[in-house]
Amino acid sequence: MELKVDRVTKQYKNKIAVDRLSFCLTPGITGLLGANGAGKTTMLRMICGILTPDSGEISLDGISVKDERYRNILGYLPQDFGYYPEFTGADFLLYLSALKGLDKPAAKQRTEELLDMVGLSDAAKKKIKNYSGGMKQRLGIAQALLNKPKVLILDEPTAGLDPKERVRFRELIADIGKENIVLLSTHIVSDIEHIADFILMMREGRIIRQGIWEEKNGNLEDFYMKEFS
Amino acid sequence: MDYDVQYDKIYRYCYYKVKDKNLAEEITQETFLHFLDSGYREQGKSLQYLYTIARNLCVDHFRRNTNNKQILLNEEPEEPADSGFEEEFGIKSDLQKAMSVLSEEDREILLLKYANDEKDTVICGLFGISRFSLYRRLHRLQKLLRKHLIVYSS
Amino acid sequence: MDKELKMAICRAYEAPLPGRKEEFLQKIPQNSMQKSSLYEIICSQIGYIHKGAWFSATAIFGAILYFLSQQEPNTVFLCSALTPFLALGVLIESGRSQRYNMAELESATKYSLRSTIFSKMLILGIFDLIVLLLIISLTQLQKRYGLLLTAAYILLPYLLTMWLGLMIERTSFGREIPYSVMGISTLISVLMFISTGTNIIILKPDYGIWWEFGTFILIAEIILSGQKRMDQLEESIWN
Repeated sequence: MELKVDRVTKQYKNKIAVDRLSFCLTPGITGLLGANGAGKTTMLRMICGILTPDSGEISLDGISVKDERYRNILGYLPQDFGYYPEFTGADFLLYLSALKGLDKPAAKQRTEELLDMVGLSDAAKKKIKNYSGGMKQRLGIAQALLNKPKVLILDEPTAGLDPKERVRFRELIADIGKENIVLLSTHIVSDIEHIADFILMMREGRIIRQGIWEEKNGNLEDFYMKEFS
Repeated sequence: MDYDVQYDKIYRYCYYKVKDKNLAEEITQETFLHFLDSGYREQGKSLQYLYTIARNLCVDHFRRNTNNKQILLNEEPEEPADSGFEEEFGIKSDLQKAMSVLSEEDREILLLKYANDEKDTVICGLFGISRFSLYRRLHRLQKLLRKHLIVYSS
Repeated sequence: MDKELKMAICRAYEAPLPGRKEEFLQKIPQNSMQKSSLYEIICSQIGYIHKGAWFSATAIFGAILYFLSQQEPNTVFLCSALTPFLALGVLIESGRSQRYNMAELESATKYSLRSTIFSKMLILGIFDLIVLLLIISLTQLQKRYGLLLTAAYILLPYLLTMWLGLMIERTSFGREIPYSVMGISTLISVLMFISTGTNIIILKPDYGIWWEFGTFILIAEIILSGQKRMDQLEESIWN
């Protein structure tokens, strides 16, 4: 399974957000590091197929990311998301399950499983407007996993999570990353330090470093600070 | 149709029929391959078709392995006398004993309805019975089996 | 079916865990996945249309029936003054995803954002169409104007609201949309009321041809701008 990004460019008005990017993703966890405004979110949206590049192509084993078959195995957590005002946590997951093509019994089962996995079983019947930031974020992570995705794209997933929740999250992701492609975009190095198999570093729409990160290369945090200060 | 969920269900069905884990899994996978190859399009009856394939493959298996006790050529091969229920600690529960004397069709219906949670439309289509007869049968079975249920306190 | 019995029966059929499932499922080609049909999408979305949309549509229909029962001479125009609010229901529903910041999540699902918005609009649109046809046939019983003209009188305000509303949604975004769209429908509605009361020339059957012509043009325009809207959906969200 290989996700291929081929010379992708995206421009907004007079700013180039993503500049002729090319790379490949394979099963395992890839960390996408970079400051805010580096073009990470734009890149992620293009990989999800929800934003069209001005030039270049993105495909998974030959299937375009615009294809319904790709979206069927995709899980995505955006940096920011909302909810319909009347929704409870369970309603939210059931609604998205319907959009992901799950039938009612599968949706119900999966919703229960995931609420349990992210520790929201007790809050399932409560309205999302009463959720804390961390709870909402955990709900977002849950929805990304509804369809057991083979490609999981996460944009700043640990925002709002407390240290304990972060550990739980890392374990969850590490598990999923064994067989599937996980792309995690963050500016918090500790999120991916111990679980990332590959690292991509972006600055101003370009990839400045990419490769396998090994412990022997030193402290990722120091390296990151050096590159980005 | 969620292949993940359906795999477990077809596997459970096949295991009940052939009583062997590896064989059941093999037949399950063959069932899916047949289904996909056939290019079956009609969404509504997909599940029914899937079960039909599985059932036929199980029957084929028996045909291949049965000691030929058939006298008449078109006699259906007998399925093993064992009802197919795993013995727990070598002792069959009262309920399992009661289930072992039910007809094959009744046992399959119970599996599909309660263990596999399939919709009534699928079950009726598979056995060629009306909803009304299904409900009557389930009601009868329920009454019958309730008597044999021993509740173990936790 | 009592729970105990059901659980006991389930246990009787329990099978040891299949060992090769994940391996097999990975191998099943994605190509064989059945593509979703519009029918599927519509069925799943029907339940998620805001209750308010159904309620207001029914209320408007009720009000119109009331007018019809009153047998006023200018019933046609009174009815058509209310149709902009039917259009409002559809417009508000179609903008919900963006308004509540759900659009990004809904874009990355199996049923694309385009299909979900389109199916919601289609469902409400068909409901509105049935209501409008009923109104047209009921007003036609008065036999004041020809069928085509009656239809045009009733449809034009609806179509005008729809067309302007879609244009607003395409060119602006955010929380103000519902207000401007509401404003438009109210404006058109009030115009119709006023004209009815003051017996303005434009309502006279002599100008009927303009109404019929306008109706056809608007239908074509809406279809075209609707398509344009779908294409631009993505850009308008992310900019």
